[in-house]
This record gives sequence, structure tokens and C-alpha cells, in this order.
Amino acid sequence: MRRILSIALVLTLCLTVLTALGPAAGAEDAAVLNIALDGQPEHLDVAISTMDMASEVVFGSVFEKLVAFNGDSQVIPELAESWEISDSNRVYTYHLRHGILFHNGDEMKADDVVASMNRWIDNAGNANSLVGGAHFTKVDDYTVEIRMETGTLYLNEMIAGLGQQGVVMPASVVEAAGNEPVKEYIGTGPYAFDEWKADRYIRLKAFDGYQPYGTEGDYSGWGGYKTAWYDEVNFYFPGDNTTVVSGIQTGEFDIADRLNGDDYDTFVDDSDFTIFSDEAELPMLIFNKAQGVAANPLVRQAVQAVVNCEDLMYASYGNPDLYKLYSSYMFESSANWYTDAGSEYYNRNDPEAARALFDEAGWTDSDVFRILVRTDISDFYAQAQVIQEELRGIGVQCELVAYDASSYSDVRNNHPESWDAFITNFGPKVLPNMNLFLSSTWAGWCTDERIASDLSAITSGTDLDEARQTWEALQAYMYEEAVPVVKFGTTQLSGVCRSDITGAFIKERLVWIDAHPVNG
Amino acid sequence: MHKYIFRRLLSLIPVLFVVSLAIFMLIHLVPGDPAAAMLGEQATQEQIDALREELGFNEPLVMQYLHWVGGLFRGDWGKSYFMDGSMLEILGSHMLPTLQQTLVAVGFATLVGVPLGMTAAIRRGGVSDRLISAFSTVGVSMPSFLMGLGLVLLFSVKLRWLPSSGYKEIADVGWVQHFRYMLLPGIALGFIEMGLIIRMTRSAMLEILDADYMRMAKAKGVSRTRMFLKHAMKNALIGILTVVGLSFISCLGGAAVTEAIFNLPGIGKLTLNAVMRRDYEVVQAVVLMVSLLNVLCTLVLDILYALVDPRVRLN
Amino acid sequence: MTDLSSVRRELRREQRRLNIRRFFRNRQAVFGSLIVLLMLCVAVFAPLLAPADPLAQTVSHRFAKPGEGYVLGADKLGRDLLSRIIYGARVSMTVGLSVGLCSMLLGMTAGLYACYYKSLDNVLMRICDGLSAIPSTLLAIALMAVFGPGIPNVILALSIVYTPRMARVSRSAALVVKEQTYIEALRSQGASATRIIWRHIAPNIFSAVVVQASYYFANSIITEAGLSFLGVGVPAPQPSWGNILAEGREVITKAWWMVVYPGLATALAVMGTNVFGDGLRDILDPHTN
Repeated sequence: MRRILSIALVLTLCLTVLTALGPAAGAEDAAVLNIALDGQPEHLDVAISTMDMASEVVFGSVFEKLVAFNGDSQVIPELAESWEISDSNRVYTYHLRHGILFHNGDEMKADDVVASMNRWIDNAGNANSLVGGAHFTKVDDYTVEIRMETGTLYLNEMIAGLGQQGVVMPASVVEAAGNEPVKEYIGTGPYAFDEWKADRYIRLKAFDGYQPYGTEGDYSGWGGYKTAWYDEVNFYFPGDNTTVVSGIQTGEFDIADRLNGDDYDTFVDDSDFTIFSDEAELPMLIFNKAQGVAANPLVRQAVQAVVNCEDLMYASYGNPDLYKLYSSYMFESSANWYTDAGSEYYNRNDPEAARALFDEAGWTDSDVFRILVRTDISDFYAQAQVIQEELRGIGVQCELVAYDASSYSDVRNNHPESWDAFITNFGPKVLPNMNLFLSSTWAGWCTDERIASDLSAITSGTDLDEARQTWEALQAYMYEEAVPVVKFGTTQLSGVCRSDITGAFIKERLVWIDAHPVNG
Repeated sequence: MHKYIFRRLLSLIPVLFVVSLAIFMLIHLVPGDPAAAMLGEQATQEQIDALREELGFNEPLVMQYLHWVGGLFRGDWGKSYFMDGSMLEILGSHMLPTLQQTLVAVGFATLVGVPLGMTAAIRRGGVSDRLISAFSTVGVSMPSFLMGLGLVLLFSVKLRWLPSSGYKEIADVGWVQHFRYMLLPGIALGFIEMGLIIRMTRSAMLEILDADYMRMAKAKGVSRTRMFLKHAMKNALIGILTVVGLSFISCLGGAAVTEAIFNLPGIGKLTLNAVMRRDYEVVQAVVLMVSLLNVLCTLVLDILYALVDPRVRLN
Repeated sequence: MTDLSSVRRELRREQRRLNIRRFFRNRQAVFGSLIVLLMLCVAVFAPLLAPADPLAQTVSHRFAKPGEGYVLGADKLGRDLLSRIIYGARVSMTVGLSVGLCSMLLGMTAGLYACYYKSLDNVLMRICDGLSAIPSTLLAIALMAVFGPGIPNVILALSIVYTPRMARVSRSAALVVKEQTYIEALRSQGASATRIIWRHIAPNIFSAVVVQASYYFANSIITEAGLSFLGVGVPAPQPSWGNILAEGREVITKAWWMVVYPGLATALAVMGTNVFGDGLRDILDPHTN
């Protein structure tokens, strides 16, 4: 017995010593920025990937584009110093800045731009359909142009936009990679890729040869005069929010990009921290319009009628500050396209109407509505469960078909017979037709003729007002009849940073590049 | 003896063959492939198909298997679709946290388990024996993830003494900090093993305490402490060593769960990630490597036994 | 022959009586089986015991504290935690029992035939060695990726994991029996292989196999919870202790009840089955202790 006691004593002593030593204090180096990411990206080639995670690391920091958006969603020059658009909107000519260096020391020239932009066009469906398969060509070493069959007003917006990005890399790197992700991350931005220790961190280092653009201090939105404020920027993947919260509190991290609704309260009234938030994503239920029970528009209308968007959003995001409830498919912050058309069909939460629609559709007790879910994203999983329960409430059988991420993609793309709807979300888009959920070739297969023709009218139109009206009417039609998707709401995803750091990212969530010390 | 070792080494070949075939078939049977993970959720099927072709997934499976095994014979463990560096580098850098965690786990289990087991044996039938036995039963019944969650709740959330998760390299933060991060995962992983070690130590000690020569020593008036430490301990050592060795193996294999809880970039996490994004060759290499370690450890233990007890060799 | 078999029957009956007496004298066995029985009752009578529908949501009561209308609190979607834990027992018990039984039947069959037929032995045992060389958690994860999440798939995967291990145990037990002279005698009398295997060898290794199966019962409860915890086991909304714990891990700072109560349930179930297994071993297989 005495022995047990003495062992216990020794163990306690060890623990006390260890805990007394505490986290190493004062080791903070002012020139290092530590950012906690929500997860680890698969790779950093944003030209071929549709993942946000990679963008968060390299957007504007490692890679740059011909043009960028400023804080007022206006297109400003970045790697191109100027451009001309022909009268018919069919020919765009870009004049490149001189003396821009890649991180490997080579100068950026037209060949690099042509190779990069063409690979982007080939791999990004949206860009491809906008330019109608046209490609960039070199005019001289510092000039490139693209000639399209039909004109478009929006090529610059497409290039500047988020999502899959037309970033410029050296031609040699691009050509070596083909359709695979590039092996080397070489860009023109103020930070160069330094090291990626798998499952631990990604490290960027300040690039000496960077040539800023514009006037000093003039940075807003996603572009402008950029400075490498830090010698080193580290991205960590802490994996769970307990670690993120304690890491921010102890100073291990300076910025955390995604704050869970349940942790939001921890920081909201604390002056040591700044919470930043921005419209981030549209979570939505996307129906399988090609086959199965959801091919019937009445069933889609019925599901839209039953959902309680407030519950859906609250269940996954946990705090009403973290989302907005409005019907527009385009973001409130998008300059031209926000509209409340069709809002009477949004968030109806009307079980009787839904049941009546199901009856009208000839729904029987043996019919099953199957929602495809991926097990690794808990927000979507929670939303699927809420919908399942709401359908069960009106006597409609609903089944969740759960898969891990890779099987999920496979089933979604190649086995449309085994699901009726799935949940995903979309980031802000510049144009209505860039919303994949309206595409006839992407999962869900929105083949409605009116949607297709209206969208192409918007893209190729030359009058913005007219285009806006078409979109408004189209959104009303989609809410009332076609119901390709059920929009849940718009997330206001928030991050948190130590209050001695500031920058444009406080407004635009994804861009940490302008983060700097408050008195810097 | 050499013959015995040689025979045992030879018997590893079919085992490793079965392992390699099983894991290759398994991971290639899984629907989906790395192309989907590389391109992200919103990629189109055409884009995925183009990448598939480029990555060589349209080759017949038999050929892919032969390529892989052929590579293994040349010392080429394959490559990752997502991580840079050779497979051995990847395995090495992920093996480190797992090994460190396993060392803490086995260290904890041994340091706590052996003294407790000995105490229980010496005080056979007494209160402390019963308490320790109950404790060991709780120990063997405590899955590592429960223990892990409990420890996080107590030491990180409630008391705020230790970090709740994460990994810090010794080179960056020094030994003490590193150990602070490893302590909870180590204990969580080692708790079951501790229960087993208590049991084994107790029964090994009891067996020896009951042996005739111990009664003789007692009759001859050898002092109690000397008797336990010199005679009993020495003879029980091989049994105890076996359990410690076995617990090392099971910690290596069981680390997947604790690594998920404590977010350690170890072998378990590597495997889980690789399975999830279908990083085929990583899954194959990790499983083959861990299985190899597993059978080698068992082999070493067997050989040790054979050295001690020549009868084993005949079997 | 009739006399002999009646004697044998008598002997077996006597053995059984002895075992029952031993069982009630063994405190571990009684305690363990009480817990297992309790868990089984909870699983079978879950609909009667649960205070609420385990799937019914009240989203606005997200993470309600224990007490206010929810005895053990509410989860992320405002479902009653107690009811979910009670229904979770169903998953654990179903998986534990099925895996125990499946691996017992398959493993024993494989072991028996391997011990009897030399050529089969080589092939089967190499496969078993190979499969048991892969750590069980890793193998289970890979198998679940192939089958996809779901209770039947967990049972299938875990049976594949434990069957080779069981086959090895029953083979080595069977080898000892096979060496005995009366088996030799039966063979020379021309008894069929099936008869020898199932009538004469099988009953003699049964106790060793049952003891082993009871440990697989406990282990598969742990592994199911672990797989569900990692998100590859039983998918929500179906309540499983593992997936409740996984959800609890996310909110461990806010909603301790999401971790503590399902954790206690899991620990209790595993401890019960383990203690039960220990007791069983003491009774059926007294030499191994």
C-alpha cells in the first residue's frame, strides 16, 4: 500500500513540475505570423483545384493574377499594368508589367502568362465556357491577347474572382505538370513557398525580389500595394477547435481562419481579440434532376416547402451571428446580382403545404428520398439529419447515404441512380452562371431549358441592367417552379485574430496577405 | 539455433506476401481515387477522368500490383500523390511522433504496471492486491480514445495544466515542452497496456514465488527484499519483457485513434488520411511497414524464448 | 457403444453441473455476466426505457444542459442524450454479439479443418498469419473504407479482422486434441472426417473458443466505438456511443456531458464483458490462468 502511495506521489510530482514549466513564454518573434487553418489542403495548385483551403494559403501571397479585385469589387491591375477590350468585347489585350520576378529568379514574360492562363482555361469549367474554348496567345514578350468567338463583358471579373484561379506560374512548371497539380510552387507574390511538412505545417518566406504595385499603403479587398510584413508565415492544421481556441489564447496562433459557432462567444467580448467575418458560403441541398424521385419538380418543391432554414443553419453553425437568412442565390455583397426574388418560397417551414405537394407528386409510403452525405464534414451531416427529421415529421421516408469523401465523389458523379440529393456549399461568385449548381454537366444536372438559355443570355449580353432583370426573373422562376436546389442561408464565417494585428482581412476573410501589426 | 532463426525468417515471406496482396486489393477495391481528392469537391467528372488517365489508374490492377512489388524489391517503396519526398522519408517523419508517443506509453505502462503488479503479488490476497487487480481490470477495459477524452477533459479543459492536442518537435521547443505535448496521448495509449502489464507481472511473480527454490531460499533465511529483487524479479523478467514487447507492438498499431484525438502527425493519422484520400501507395507502404515491424518484434521475442528455453526450437 | 455414449453423456451432464456451481462461486463471472445481462436488457428494451425518441430533434435546445427536460442533456441537434445512449447500447450489443458469433463459427471451422487437412493447413494458416500481422485498427479502417459506413458493414469488417485470429486459436487447441489416441483410434475405425471433426474434436476445443469469443465481444465493442469515433463506423443519425463521443470531442469545452456519459456507458460495457470473459476462462479453462 505504501508503495502505491509513493508511486502516486512521484507521478503527481512529475506532473506538477511539467505543468509549472508552462508554455514557453516570450519566444514570440515579431517577424513571424502563425495562422491556424481549418484543415490541410491536398496541394496548393489553385489553378486546377476547386478547394478553398489552398487559396487561403497562396492567394495573393505566393501567386498573383493578371488582375485583381479591390475592396469595392472593381477590377484593378496586378501583373498586367493595363489592358484593352475591343468594341465587340471579343478581344482582350493585356500589357504585362516589366521586371516582375518569379521566386526562382526568372523574369515573368508573355510565355509564362500564356501557358498558365491556357492551362487554367482547360481545367476550369467556368472559365472555359466563358471564353468559349478560346486561348491566350503571345503578341510580344510583354503583351498577350485572347480572341473569343462571342464577346463577354466579364473576363476580367472571371480572372480576378475567387475559386479556381488563373494564377501565373513559370511556363516550365506548368508544362511539366499537365493536368496534374504542379510539383513546384513558384509564383510572383511577396512570399515564396518554403516548406511543407506533411500533416504539420506549411511555411512561406518573404521574397526579396518582390516588386509592389501601386502606391504604398493602398491595399483593399483582394489587391493593391502588397508588402511582406513578416519574414516567415506558418500555417498549422490544429485539427480541432479546442486546440485552435487555446492556441489563439496562448499566442501560439495569431490568426485562426474559421471559428466554430460554439467558440464564438469565447472571443466576442474580449478586447485582446478581433473577430472578423465575411459572407463565406451558401450551403444548399442540390437535387438529382437527372433521375430518381427528385427528377419530379413537385418533389423538389415539396422539400423546399418543408425545410426550416433557421433550424438548419442554427444546427450547424450554432450562433445566429454566424449566418444570414436570405433567399438570394448570389451574395448580398456581390455588386450587381443580389435579389430577393422568390423569397416567399424561401424558409417556408410549412409541413402541410409540403405534404400536399408530396401527395400531388404521387408520393407513396414505399418511396424513399435519399440524401448523399460525406462523413467528414460535420456541418453538412448535421443539416442532412435535420432535413431527414423534418421529412420524417410529414411521413416521408428519408435515408442518409453516407460515404467518406473519396467514395462520395465517386458515387455522386458516377452513380446518380443511388441518390436524390446532396449537400454542399459554394463561395461567392462573380456571375450567376458561375454557380456550378446551375450547370447541366455538374452533379445534380440542371438541364432546365429556361435556366440554360437565360444564363447564356446574361453572360453574352452587353447591357448590365437587362442582364440583372433576366437574373431576377430567373431566380423567381427557380424558387417557384424549377427548384434545382434548396438554399439554406448564407454563412458569415468568422475568424479570430489577436487584436495587435490588423489588415484588410478583417473585412475580406480569405486574404491574410495584408495582415500586419497595428502600429506597423 | 541458426537453423531455427533461418527457418523463422523464411516463414516471414508468405506472411508478407499475404499482407501485401491483401492491402493492395483492399485499397484498390475502395471506390474513388486520389484524382477526386486532388481536384476538390466541385470538379467535373471529365476533369477527374483526365487526371486519372495521367496518373496511370487505368492500367490493369495486376500490372499495378506487379509494378509495386517489383519496386519494393528494388528498394523503392512508391510515392505519395499528395506529399513530397520519398516514401521512406514520409514514413520516417510520421513514424517519429508515433514512436515518441509509444515510448511514453510503454514507459508509463511499465513504470506503473510493474511495481503495481509486484506489489500485488507480494501482498497476495490482501487489500492492496484486490485494489490493484480491480485497477488493472479497469485498465484493460479502458479504450484509448475514452482515456484520451477523459484526460483532455480533466487536464486540459478543467485544470488547464497540459495542452489538449498538437505536436511540437524537440528541435523547436526543447524536451520539456515536447514531453508536455506527448504526456496525455502517451498515457491514453498506454493505459490498456498498463492493465495487462500489472496482470502479467502479478502472475509471473506469483508463479516464481510459489516455486520450490523460493521456498528453499526463504527457509534458508535470505532477506525478503533481497529475495524479491534478486531471485523473483530476475526470473519473472522474461515474462514481463514479453508483455512489454507485445505492448510496444499493439501501441504502434493502436495509435491511429489517439493520434486522431490529439492531432499528432503520426503513422495512424497518415494511414487514416491516406485511406480517406486514396493515397494508394502510402496506405500500402504504411501497412506493410507496420506489419513487418509487428512480425519482426514477434520474431525477436520468439528467438529470445528459444535462447532461454531450447525446447521451443523443436516445435 | 450405447453404454459408452450414455456414460459420456452422463459425464458431460456432470461437467455442466460442476461448471454452473463454479460459475456461481466465481464472483468475477457473476458480476461480469450481470453487467452484460444489464446491457443486453437495455438494448432489447430500449424503446421502453428511453424517455424520448432518440431521433426527435428540437434544434433550439442545442446542447441543453443535463436536467432541464433532458436527464443527461441534449446533443448538437437537441436530441435527448440519455435516449441516444440507451439506443446506442443496441448498436454495441448487436455488433459485439454478431462479431463474437461470426468469428467464432468461421474461425472455429477454419481452425478445425486446417488442423485436420495438412494441405489446407498451410494455405489457411499463411492467410491467417498475414491477416493477423496487420494491426487490427488499421485493417478495420481499410475494410470500412471498402464497405462504407453502416452497422452490417462494421460487423462484416470486424468479423474479417477477428476470424483469422480465432482460427489460429482453435487450430492450436484442435491440434492438441487431434494428437490424442482416441482420435487416432476413431480414424482407424474408418470414421468420416466430418464426424471426427464435429463430434469429437469440436466439443473439446469449444471452451477455449468461447472464452476467446468473449474477448472478441469486448474488443469489437471497443473497435466499433473507435471506428465510429473516427467517422468510419456507424453513421449518424443512428446513435452509437462512438459517434456520440466523436460529436462530443468537438464540443468538449462546452458540453462535457456529450463525452462523459457515453464514455461511462462504453467503459462499463467493455469492463463487464471483459470481467465476464475472465470469469468464463477461470471456469472453462482453469489451466490458462
